[in-house]
Amino acid sequence: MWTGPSLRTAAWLVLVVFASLGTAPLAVAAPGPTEIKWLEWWVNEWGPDNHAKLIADFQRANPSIKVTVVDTPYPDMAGKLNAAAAGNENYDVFGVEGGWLSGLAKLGYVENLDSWLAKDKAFADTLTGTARRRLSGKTLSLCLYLIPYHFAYNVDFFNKAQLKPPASWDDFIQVERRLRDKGANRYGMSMPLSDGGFVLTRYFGYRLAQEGGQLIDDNGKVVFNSPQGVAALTWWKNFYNMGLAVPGSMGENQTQMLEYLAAGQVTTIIDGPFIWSKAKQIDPAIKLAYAPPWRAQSGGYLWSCSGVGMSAKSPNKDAAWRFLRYLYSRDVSVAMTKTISLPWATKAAMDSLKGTSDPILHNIPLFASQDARHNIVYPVLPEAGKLIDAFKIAFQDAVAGKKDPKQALDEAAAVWQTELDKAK
Amino acid sequence: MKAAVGDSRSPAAAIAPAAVPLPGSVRRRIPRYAAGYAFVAPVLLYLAVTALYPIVNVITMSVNDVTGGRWYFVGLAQYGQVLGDPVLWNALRNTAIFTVASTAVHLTLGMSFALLLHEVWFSRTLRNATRGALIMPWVFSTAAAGLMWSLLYHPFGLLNYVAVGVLHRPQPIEFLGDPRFALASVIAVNVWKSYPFYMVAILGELQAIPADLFDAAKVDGAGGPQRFWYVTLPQLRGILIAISTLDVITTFGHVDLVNILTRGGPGRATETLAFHVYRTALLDGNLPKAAAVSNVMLIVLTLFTWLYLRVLSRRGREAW
Repeated sequence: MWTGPSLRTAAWLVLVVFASLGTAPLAVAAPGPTEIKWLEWWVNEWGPDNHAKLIADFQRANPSIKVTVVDTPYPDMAGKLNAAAAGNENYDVFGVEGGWLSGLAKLGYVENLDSWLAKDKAFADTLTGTARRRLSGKTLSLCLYLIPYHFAYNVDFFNKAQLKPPASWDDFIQVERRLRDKGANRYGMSMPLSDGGFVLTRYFGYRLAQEGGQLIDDNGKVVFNSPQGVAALTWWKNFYNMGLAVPGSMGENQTQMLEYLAAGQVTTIIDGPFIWSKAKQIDPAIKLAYAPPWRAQSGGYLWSCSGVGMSAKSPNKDAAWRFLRYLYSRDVSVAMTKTISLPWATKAAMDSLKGTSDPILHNIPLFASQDARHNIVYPVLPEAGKLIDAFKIAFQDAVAGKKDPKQALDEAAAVWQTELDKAK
Repeated sequence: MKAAVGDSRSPAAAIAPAAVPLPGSVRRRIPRYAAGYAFVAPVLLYLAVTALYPIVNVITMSVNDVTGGRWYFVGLAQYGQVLGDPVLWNALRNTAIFTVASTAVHLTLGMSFALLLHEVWFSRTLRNATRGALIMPWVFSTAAAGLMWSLLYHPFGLLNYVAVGVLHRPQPIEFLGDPRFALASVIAVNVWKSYPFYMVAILGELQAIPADLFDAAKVDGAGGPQRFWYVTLPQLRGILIAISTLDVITTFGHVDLVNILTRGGPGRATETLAFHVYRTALLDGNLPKAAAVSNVMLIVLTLFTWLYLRVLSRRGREAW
């Protein structure tokens, strides 16, 4: 027989406990820091310690803001961002490539930064001239670090083999010939031609700048099918057919290329300045350097960048903007440029490159100034995925001998022009 | 008057315990089939959330376009663009080859291994060990299998080590980089990964066939091939139809292996419909177009499966 408190008493007790649980947080709740989520792929690339310090320093200076980092492998970034945009998942600040912006802008995910920059003119003036990435008249993201593409090599291997870094395109071929060792099944370089972005920037675009050509002219006309473009593509076709790159280029991706490099299976590469920090993730002892600037018909270079954007759907835009400003602050940009060999897109960071002995960075001011008129700034493209894919197919078809370079470029240019005209 | 609990016309009456009768007014308001609906409601709700809602959503998306986050109706314009795009037809062709080849080889290999394991071996231990080894590929996740095979296919991988180092080929074979080999190489991995499913299912069914049937066939003078054709195969018909239909459906929508091994390349040599959808939606960020391709894929898959089942069941009635 039940001899304890009555059921009614027990019910009252339960009610009181629940009521107190419900009101307790209200009574003691104090406004916590504003949380902003930063989706990016840089934790390992910049080094976890550097990255953690970057965040900790910001949070120390801004105790009212908490930055939650969502680190994603680079190959998954575009998918993750597009899924977030489609599913209304918020990332206040995100790392973004130019090629991803058009899709995100269509879904209304990207904040137009023009008004923020206009309100903050002092900050806007600290950025380099090419830092704003614009599409349809709007600044959709800011370049975080600038990327010229050039020939990089494994310093220790070259020293051991008593090889000098090439000083011209002809030298480049000679070096690759010397590095090809049939007996040991060794190659000088690999070309991940399955990646449209690689094809367009590292190979075609780089050589196009050196031929004195452009991708798109000032009037928005696609001109990469010019004689300079045909010369650039023909050069790569000839190089490919020399058999000096690791076989399987058409199916090779960035990850494989990086593995070849870090494992010492290849010792040269054409890539951006981040390649050293990426390779160090696999082999911390690897030492890479850029060859001195060279020229073909011109001394131009293709410049791209990786950048950051803000979500148009962010409920914490002010906090996100503060964080974004911090990433470009003088202290951060100079320190990051020095620490991880990435040329930050600020004037202070570019100034800091003068006189540097960093084997990757010290040539970058020369890339910019050698023939500034013929530099190509990689544009933000509408329907970028489609255009890059069309270009990749054209490049592969020409290189594999399925199509004449001129015909392949004309076909790709037609696809590009249609989309550019639509976007106008 | 409607049948109620306890009513002799109700099938439940025979097994239902004696229940307290509901008041007449309540009985009139609740139709007798309401209980049935109540029981299936959770499943219907689950299907509505996990199947119906996404389908309706994708259909809605495919008849709209989006600019600056604003969606607007465009009718069938997306479908017009998609169907006029040669990339779609190339992807459809690749998908058909991938699906038919994978399913056919799965079936052949699975059946062969199942028959082999069904035989009496001189050593039961050896047979069990072989069975374990043959099932092994099924244990691998698709990601792990893809990674492993990408290393095997690698220009510096084991297969090319044999090709160059042992067989003295002048160049490594570009398994994934040559359009002539790439799709076959991906199919080979898919076959390797999934044949054990067939093998296990067929083996289970083989073991359930009564021995009397074979004995009777033997008495009638049937040889090995005849027993296989007239006894084994008809007995396996149900399971073969079921697993091959499942296989067609899953292979048709396969993305993982293509994504890990080739990302649709070289060129578009291995771009399947499912990968085309993935690329369009998640890499290019074009959701409306991807939705239209998804619906085309749904229609093609439904037609294909319907036709396949129809052919198989007709053939079964005629021949088996």
